Amino acid sequence: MSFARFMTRRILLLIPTLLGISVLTFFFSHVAPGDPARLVAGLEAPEARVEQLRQELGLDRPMWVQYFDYVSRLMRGDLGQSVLNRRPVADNLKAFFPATVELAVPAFFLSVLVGIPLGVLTAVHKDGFWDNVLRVASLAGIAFPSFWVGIILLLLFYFKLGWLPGSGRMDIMLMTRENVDTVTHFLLVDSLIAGKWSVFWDALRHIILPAVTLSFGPTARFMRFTRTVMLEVLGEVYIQTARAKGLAERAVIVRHALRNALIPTITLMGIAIGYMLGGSVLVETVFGWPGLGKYAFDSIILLDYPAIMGVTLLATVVFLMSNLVVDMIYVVLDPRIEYT
Amino acid sequence: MEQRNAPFRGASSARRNLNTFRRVLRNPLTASGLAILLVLAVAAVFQGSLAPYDPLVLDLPNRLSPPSAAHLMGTDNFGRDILSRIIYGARITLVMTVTVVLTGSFIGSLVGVAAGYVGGWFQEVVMRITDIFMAFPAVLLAMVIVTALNPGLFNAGLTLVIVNWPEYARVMRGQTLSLVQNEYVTAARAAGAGRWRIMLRHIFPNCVGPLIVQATINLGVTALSFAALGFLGLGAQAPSPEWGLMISNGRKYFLDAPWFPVFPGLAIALTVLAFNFLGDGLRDILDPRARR
Repeated sequence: MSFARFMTRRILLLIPTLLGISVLTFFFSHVAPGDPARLVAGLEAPEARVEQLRQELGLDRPMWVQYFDYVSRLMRGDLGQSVLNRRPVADNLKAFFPATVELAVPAFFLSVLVGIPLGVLTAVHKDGFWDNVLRVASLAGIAFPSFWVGIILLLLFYFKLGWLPGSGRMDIMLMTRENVDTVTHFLLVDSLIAGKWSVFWDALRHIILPAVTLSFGPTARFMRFTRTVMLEVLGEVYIQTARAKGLAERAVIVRHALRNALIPTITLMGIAIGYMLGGSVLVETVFGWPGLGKYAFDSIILLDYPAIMGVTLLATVVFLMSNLVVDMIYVVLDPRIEYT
Repeated sequence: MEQRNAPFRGASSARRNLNTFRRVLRNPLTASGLAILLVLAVAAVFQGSLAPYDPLVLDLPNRLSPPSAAHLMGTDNFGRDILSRIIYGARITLVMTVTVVLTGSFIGSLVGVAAGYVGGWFQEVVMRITDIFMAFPAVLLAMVIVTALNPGLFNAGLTLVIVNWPEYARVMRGQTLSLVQNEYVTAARAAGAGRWRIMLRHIFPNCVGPLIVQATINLGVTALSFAALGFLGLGAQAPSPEWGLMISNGRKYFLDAPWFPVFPGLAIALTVLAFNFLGDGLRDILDPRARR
């Protein structure tokens, strides 16, 4: 099968998956407890008003009619109205999603840039002192709950040492003083565009603790995975050949071993993005970070169904797309891959 | 032929199991994982006689008191002894985690083996369903499902089964596809064995190695997800001494009483660490590809 056919099949297969996802999110939000009409009307509203709203919102119609209605609105980019703030869910997502991206991107690069080199280091010095220390550290990195790590970092760097701010994206005092125009919704970018260095610096300081917390687990995973793959690659014949040629050990490791070891590691990057989307719920809750995860949590507590469905759908689509990109990169990088 | 083979196979697998067990004990990490789990299991079983205090009785005059001889890990905002609550929480975490993994791997392997063996449209449908489930970030999917079912200890467990079974189904389908090619399957079929018999007697037992590895590795992940749901208020409900819930409560007091959220977190980490040590060791032993 050619690359083009492989990718076409891969993309076409996304259609039933996306349909299934819409059925699943719809199903789970509709078997959920609580009466959406009552929630919109308010607890004090008379029963007649609730009944009227139920008809207006179409909640009295058969489930499958509601589902098709939901999907046809989805196609038009209409995700419904959030019960939480009476705004379209799509608008809420547009406001909250960039905050999560601004947190996840540094966390992602942090985990890759720390995890992979440490993985190489442990593989090269297998069973040595650093290998043992870092392996135990990586096992611990996976074992500690991210929300707990977040709390400990807050306690240390915010309350005890006072080095870094504790919650939110920006200092509230600064926010009232400095008005930054929203262009991209990314505070770091927007403040640079506006040329407000104080805001940029403050936003950067706010990102550090939650980003480090979010990167904790993935860093450990990258490290362990890279170590395993590197050990495998270092046992290959072409590494012996490279050494026999008299290449410097550094060149053997970086140019011959690491380059090949990075290919399978790319798969892990897709998984890490999914982990960060899910993990953002916990980390954003701990740090009061106004992103997608906190929005998801708040809407679940309030049983805000349109919002829950919207967040789940967005996170899933992002995860699917990142896996698609990972697959593409994988195929391009590894000529040996079979398209099946 | 079937009958003549049976005792022989039994004897050899018993010997193999004993060998595996010896190798588990020889690996220091795996052995320490096993030791930690043993301590936790003892705590879980004998919680009533081991815990110095009742985990639920309030003692308001002693609220938020720091670790001391009377309260080794201090007390929480209701004056409850944190050590006792952690000991009682061990049973919740261990029982839930193991049950979730056993149930999930059981359902997942049945579906996976059936999909791989039956093939055709059935396999296609099952694999698309697992695709759908695995397209969700796990924590998010768990949050949505547990909200739909109503937050609580049991429903949190049920949710994690729903979230986890597809992973096992995938692994087991892959195993089945490679095993179906074997001659002994063809032989069994020629001897007139039915579908179910082949799946349960011939294919399933031969997938057990990878299944155990996958399940053991998942124990740690499950324990963490379970604590996360508790932390978010979607798992165990107050006054349960579930560890995630304890961290969530302790968070509000962590400036005055850092021990309150710290110790339950250490308990979770220790448990997950023990599961991971065990999983790592078993993978090295049971998965020939990882053996070096």
